[in-house]
Amino acid sequence: MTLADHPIDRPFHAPTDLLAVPAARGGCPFDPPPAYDRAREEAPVSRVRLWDGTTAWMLTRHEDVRAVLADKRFSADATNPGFPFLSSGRRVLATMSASFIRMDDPEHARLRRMLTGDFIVKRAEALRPRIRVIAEDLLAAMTRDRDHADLVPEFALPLPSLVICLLLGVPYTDHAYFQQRSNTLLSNTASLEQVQAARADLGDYLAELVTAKRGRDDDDIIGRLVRQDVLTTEEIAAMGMLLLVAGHETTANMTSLSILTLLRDPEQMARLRAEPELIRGAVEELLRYLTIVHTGVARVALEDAEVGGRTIPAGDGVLLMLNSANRDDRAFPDGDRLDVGRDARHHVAFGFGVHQCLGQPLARTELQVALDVLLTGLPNLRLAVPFEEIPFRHDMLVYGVHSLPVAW
Amino acid sequence: MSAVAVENIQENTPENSQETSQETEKPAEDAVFRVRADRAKCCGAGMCTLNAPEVFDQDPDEGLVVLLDPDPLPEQHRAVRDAVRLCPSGALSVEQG
Repeated sequence: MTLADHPIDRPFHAPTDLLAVPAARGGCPFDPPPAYDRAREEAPVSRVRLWDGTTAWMLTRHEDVRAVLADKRFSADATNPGFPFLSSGRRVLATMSASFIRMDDPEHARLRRMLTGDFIVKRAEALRPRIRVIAEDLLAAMTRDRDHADLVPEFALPLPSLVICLLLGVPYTDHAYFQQRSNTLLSNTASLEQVQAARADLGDYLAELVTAKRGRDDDDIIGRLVRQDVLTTEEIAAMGMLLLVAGHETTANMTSLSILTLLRDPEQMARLRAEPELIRGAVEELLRYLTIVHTGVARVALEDAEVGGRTIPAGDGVLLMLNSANRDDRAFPDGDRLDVGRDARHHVAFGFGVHQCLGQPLARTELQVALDVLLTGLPNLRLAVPFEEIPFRHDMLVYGVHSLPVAW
Repeated sequence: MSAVAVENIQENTPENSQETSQETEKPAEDAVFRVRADRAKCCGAGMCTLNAPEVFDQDPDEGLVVLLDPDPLPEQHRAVRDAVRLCPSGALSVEQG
């Protein structure tokens, strides 16, 4: 399916009084847009307006979001008519040689299962000592002869990037090349042409890497997929791109945003420093509280389906607001409060249903190690600029900060 | 089967399943507490292994659920219920009676 056959026009254009999404955040940059909070209380299943004038249903309650993500009547396949997109760039990304996150079972399961073995809990645990060495080396390099640095390029980004490169078999020395393209792919403001060019560059880069691995015996994910000889070069490249982009942007942003959050909440920071055994639960709570996949997860109804007391007609798009669901007081009492001691394991920061994040065991391990190494290694960690000067990633698919100047 | 309640805790609201009231209302020594794991539904997210490692594992090749103990001891019941409610693909269930 090409872009040209994708139905651009929908039967009607939205009344302008509908909420436009993604909505703007309010005063606190850690909190979801206040409009989502209002919707969750007053109209948890409501129609909203998208950038192109079309409409979709926005779901904001934890129970409803979980239910739809687990319901096979809602498709993740962006080539289905009515699938909602948040920008023209998003449309390109979701429909151009899509990876399995934009497919339904059984095809989704067939492809995902080629990778599930690489991300099992025990494998992530086995990687923990190696991840710790990488984190400690980055910290040592960052603090050598200096008392301040930007945490994003010096620690938060290279840590998961080094790890996913190691697992995939991508040379980390190319990181400037793929990080710049990855950044464009995840930008909500990049033009159609920029997204297409970045997508093509990354696709070519990974296809070359796949070709180079043919006939070799590389002990990494791409090397193994080549040897299995089930997928085409383009299919392996598409899978590699998904893992490369998802594998470092998400953990990188969670790391820096978590540190910033804790610096702004000295009580929670002190508790975590005093009770380091809380780290696993604290990471779940930070995942819930921050929910960096902040613009919503898209699905389209394949048949009429009742959700939260309303019927969503077949062919209508649905946006599942993970950030709102994760602040729902019904699921997390006093949900707007960060509490590193609470049980937040049922958060939907990794999604829910069969598409729930494949790399979550790795992400958890990386975050637990990253936060522990930073809090233990830098007891006097503090912001090096006023909080108001921190540039938040309002413009990106994955929320976080563009830079985080800190001192110690 | 008719006398046995099939509990798919995933359908419960988080508040219900988070409470410990289930533990107190239903005595730990249930006559039946049988765990089921459906590998056809499993998506390999690993929530079961993470939350009830004594009862669930993942096979290293496909990463799919491996049921280590279909009749876990009462002290494992809470962790199993957590695993069932946290499983994203609805692959786990418990028969209780």
